[in-house]
Amino acid sequence: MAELHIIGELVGATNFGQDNLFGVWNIQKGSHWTHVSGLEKGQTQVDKRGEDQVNVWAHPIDIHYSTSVCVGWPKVVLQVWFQDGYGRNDFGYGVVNIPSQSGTFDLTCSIWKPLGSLKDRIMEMIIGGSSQVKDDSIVWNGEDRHKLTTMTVGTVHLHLNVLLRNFSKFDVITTNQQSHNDDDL
Amino acid sequence: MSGTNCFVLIVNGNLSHAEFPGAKNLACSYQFVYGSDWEVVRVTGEGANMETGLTQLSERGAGTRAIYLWNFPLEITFRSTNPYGWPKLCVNVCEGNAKTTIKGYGWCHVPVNPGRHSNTIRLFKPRNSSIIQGILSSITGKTPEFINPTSICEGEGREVTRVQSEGTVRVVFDVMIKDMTKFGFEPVNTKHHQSILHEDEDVPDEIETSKRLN
Repeated sequence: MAELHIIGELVGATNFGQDNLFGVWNIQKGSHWTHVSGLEKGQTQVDKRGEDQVNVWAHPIDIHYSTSVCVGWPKVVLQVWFQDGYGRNDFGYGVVNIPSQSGTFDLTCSIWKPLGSLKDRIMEMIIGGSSQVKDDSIVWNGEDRHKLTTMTVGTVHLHLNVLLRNFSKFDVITTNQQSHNDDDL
Repeated sequence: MSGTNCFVLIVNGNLSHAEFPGAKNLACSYQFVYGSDWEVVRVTGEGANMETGLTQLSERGAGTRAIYLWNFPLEITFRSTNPYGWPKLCVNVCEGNAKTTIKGYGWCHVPVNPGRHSNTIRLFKPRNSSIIQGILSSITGKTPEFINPTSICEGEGREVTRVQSEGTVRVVFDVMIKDMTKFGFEPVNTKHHQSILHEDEDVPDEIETSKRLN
């Protein structure tokens, strides 16, 4: 069995322009992946921004998976909850792939929120609150996305270390064997 | 654990300094937090393996963007059979000599890549839970604190905390890792990847977001 360690942190959020902001995260993975240890989901603290306009979450991630297949590589699914100045709740969604290569990664995940019909948008402007996704699987599953209209609301930052064990034993190549020129693209 | 069936993480570091708006003087206490598979290697008569420690009280230097310099050495060696529970450095920064007030909590992982790393830990502290408490704390000078300072290194129980972020701590790590490839772990690409996944999409997002905020 090959093993995958994800060690890192949900650093925080930027560009939301909100003070009362927290994230709910969980990991989506294929059915052949076995969870060995560590928390697979969580909810961050609520942070008021400091001088640098970053909502600091500093939420630890430390997960150990073992797998016999490479299909269904885990992803981090994010949901961001925030309140506007009048205490009205908004929701944002995003998904980010966990890199399939050993190393340290600073990842950013842009967050979108769903927009409803024209009537919904006018109601949203007056009453506040926002549309929610009824079925969360649309966030990490590509099917049925074309029915949605969305808008970007901000960015979430992740710092992840990925450690792979025994993948080379099964002849899985995870790093670019040639020159690393394509990084510049 | 004998020496042959575990890998070793050798950390030399430096708790360098803090940047903080509006504090008279700052001291920092730190603690290494690690999982149950890990243990600290102690070599008798060699160096100080300090899992916990407290820096000196540093006053702010002159200048506009002055720092509170500690230049505090960290030196510790871990060994483990399993990367789960990778060590974290948990810091909390206090102000004052006789009566200390907490200024911020923060943590970072000990780098997983070998080599030299310079980490910036963003600090945060709990907010008052009500306006009355806020008024009381401004009179008495007592600010809210976490009962267990290392609870910020845990993923559970974070959802009930409301915090305010302020200030940063800079830590430099020199990391060596021994016997990890022997354990079947793939060699880590030492190049640090900065947001390769969404790099291109980022720019239009930020423009549109700023539009929306205005």
